[in-house]
Amino acid sequence: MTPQPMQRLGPCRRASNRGSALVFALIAVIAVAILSAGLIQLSSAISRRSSETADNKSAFYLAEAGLAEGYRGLMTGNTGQVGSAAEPVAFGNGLFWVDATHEDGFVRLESFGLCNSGRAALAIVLERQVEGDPPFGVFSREPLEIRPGTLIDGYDSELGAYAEQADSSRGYLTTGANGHLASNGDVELHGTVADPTRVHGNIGLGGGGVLSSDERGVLVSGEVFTGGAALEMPLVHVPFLPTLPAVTHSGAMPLVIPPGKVGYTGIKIQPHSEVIVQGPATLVVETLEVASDATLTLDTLGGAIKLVVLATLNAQPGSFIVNTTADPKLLSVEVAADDAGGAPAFEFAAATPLHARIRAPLANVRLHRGSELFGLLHAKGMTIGAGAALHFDRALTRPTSATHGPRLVSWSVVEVPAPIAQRRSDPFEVLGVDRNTLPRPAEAHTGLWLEIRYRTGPGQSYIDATTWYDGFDWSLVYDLWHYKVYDEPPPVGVLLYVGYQVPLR
Amino acid sequence: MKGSYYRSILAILGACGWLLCAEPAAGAAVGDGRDGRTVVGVVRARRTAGEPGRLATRLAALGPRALPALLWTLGTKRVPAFRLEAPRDLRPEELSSIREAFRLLPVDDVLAFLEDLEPATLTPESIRAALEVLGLIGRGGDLDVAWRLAAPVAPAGQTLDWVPMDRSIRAAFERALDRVLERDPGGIAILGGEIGSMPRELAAAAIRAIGRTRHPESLEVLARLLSHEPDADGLILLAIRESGARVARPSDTSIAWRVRSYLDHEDVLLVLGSVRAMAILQDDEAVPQLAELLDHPQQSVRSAAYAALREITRAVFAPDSERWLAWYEAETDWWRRTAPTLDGLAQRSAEEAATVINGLVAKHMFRHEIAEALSPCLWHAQPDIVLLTCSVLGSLGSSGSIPALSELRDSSEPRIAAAAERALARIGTVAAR
Repeated sequence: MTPQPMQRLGPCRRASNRGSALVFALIAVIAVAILSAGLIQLSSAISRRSSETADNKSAFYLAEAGLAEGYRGLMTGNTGQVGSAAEPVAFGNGLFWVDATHEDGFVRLESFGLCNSGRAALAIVLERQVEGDPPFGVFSREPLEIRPGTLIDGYDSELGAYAEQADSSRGYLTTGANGHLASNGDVELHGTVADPTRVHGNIGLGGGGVLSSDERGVLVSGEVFTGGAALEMPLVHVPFLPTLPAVTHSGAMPLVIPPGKVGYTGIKIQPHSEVIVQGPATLVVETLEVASDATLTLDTLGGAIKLVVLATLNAQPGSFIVNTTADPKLLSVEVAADDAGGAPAFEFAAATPLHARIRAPLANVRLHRGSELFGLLHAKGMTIGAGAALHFDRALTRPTSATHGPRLVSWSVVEVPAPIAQRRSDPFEVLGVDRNTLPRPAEAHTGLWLEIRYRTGPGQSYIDATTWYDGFDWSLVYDLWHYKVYDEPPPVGVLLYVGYQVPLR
Repeated sequence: MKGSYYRSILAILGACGWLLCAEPAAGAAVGDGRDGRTVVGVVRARRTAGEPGRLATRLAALGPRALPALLWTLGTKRVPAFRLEAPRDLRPEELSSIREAFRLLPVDDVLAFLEDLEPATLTPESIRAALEVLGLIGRGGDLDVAWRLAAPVAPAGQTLDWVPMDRSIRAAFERALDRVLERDPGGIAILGGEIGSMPRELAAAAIRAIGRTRHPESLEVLARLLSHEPDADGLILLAIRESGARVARPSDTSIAWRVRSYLDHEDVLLVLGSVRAMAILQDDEAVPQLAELLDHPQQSVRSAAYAALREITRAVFAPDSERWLAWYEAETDWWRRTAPTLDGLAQRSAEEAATVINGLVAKHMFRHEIAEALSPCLWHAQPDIVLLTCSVLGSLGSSGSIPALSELRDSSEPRIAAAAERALARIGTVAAR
């Protein structure tokens, strides 16, 4: 069988097909290459974005860490400034610094965190507590008069009730200590042999005040400090609340004011009637009058009660004002009135002891005969009636973060400065710093300046000193008149706060 | 010599006679002669000094005839002058012995004695002592004696409501109520029924005493008292709040319904009181009304309503009434769809039950209803489902599941007992503890 010649197609057709596979292959290769390049690009973009996200998140946390460090600095006697753009703090894979600005009782902390390509800046504004309450159970900005038979002593409610700390070894029940009183004006102590006045504590006279006391019948068991600067008292902060109309309550059924914030134009409690205020509550009243044999029950079992009086508070003789927990820390009576020499805005003659912190920075207070107060009484001026007893609760002026620490006002994300935000490379290169030479967070705080007036022992003269806050040896202090803290050395620096670190002994 | 000898003997005999026969100085006040002397004699006897138990037994052995003297002694807290001894205050151990003696005496005799007392003839000390004794031994049914003793006596021309009460008697009355109601919760309903006929000051004290009890019935009684005396509503709402914080959430929906009706009251204080009570009673159904209160003209009501909404729902939204109402509707829809799927859950297979239960863990609204529907799963055949149910019930925090979980605490399976214990700890209310 002879092989059949292959059938041939026409020469033209053969010529046109030659190399076409190569073209297709080439197109396919190019397409694959383009696709691959696209995918690589995409993958790299995704990876870059994810890395940027991680860096930004790290930078955010670094900025948060900066804020925390700045806050800690404020709490430990520093300005809140931590490092600076020129010398930041190295932390983890990145760095941060905090700029602190003090103004009008507020401090603004701006924290910048940088980590690889991530950048973040956060800011908080804190309110500084410029002044604390002076560490005295009784303090008067103007003259203070104490009539015969008054007892002033102190206790510490954190160690137990007054009765547990007092004894009758002196012939009457007293703790025999810590009844410190002070005045920026003159202090008059009256007593008789039959009806002596006893002050079991120190007496501080600031602002040129003079102590005068009856020759017999006055016992001051502590020391008398004179020549100090005038002490200041924070003003009353009045919460803004829409007020309800005045109410005059009478009848055997008590009127109940439930927990919350309530304002009243006036509250008058008639004889044999009762008003119960349930805590936690803020009660703002223009005038509050508790008639004889009427009862104002401040039920602090559920929480603290703040009673703000705008004009007058009058607890008539034989009235009853009861703090149900008997814990002065849970009841605060603040008199915002400015009585400008008129009748006292706060008249107290209740038949029952009151356990409260009472402050009336612009008003006069009169405690009537036989009144008894556990807690603290600070006022513009005061008269303490015969036979009154004031038991200072030292726990009320003990500094705590709640009373003396800065209070957060706002938190915000802020813009990262443009030169830093635009350069997304290694932050150490961007700022031109060497990672190995940067300080650690705890070493990067900027200290405050302290102006202090203190004594090193009983009978010693007061010493005035100006020094770095951190460098001051507090163990030298026997007692303290005051201290003032500045961001720069006084008198150039801004006064940040006034306080009392060590209670009087 | 002989004459003076006899005179001396006579003097000695006279002195002995006086010592043996003289009445105590306060004999008249002590009561009827010998009883008083006997009580004083027993209290003073050296043999009983330092042995309070023995003194109490000896006093009780005197029997009911000693009751007036015991009451007098408890009221004055003094021992009258007796023979050569001066009057003095009772020592604490003597005081507690007298109290114990009242407990040892036959209860019926003591109660009959208290019932026969005429308050108008008694001193405040004796009234206080009588109320103290009632607190020591009385039952719920004897509370009418307490308010009859404590009620002030109206002078001619005055109504009883306006006679000011002795504060110490009112305090003794409150203490007596507290003790009796603690011992016999049955007295809550009795007291609730009497409040309308009591002098107002005593009624106020009784309302507060009911609020202080730890018995669920108190809420029911207090809710029933609402609206009867408009001036008492504020105090009743306060008592409901106090009681609600102590007892498990009531299953009776009429209680919440009555309190809820004050949410649109014109008196802001009653609205505030009701809002706080709603939060304590954890009333889901109050959510729409509370949301509307977010637009109330009084800021105090707005903030109280917002706090109550967050407390009841555990949801966190801005104080925007529309947002809260929309959320509430969505939750209500969800519950309407879900509730039927929970029927017969305890009988379903473990896989199916686990799927359904896991879907409920994050819910807070309707948690009481969810907890009620889940409770049968605590007896599921599969221990894993029981453990899961315990965990979810703990998360839901409904006090309604406390009885079932308490029962499981005694389970023979240690894992289940421990899980029930953990769930109860998470629920964390006083009732759960």
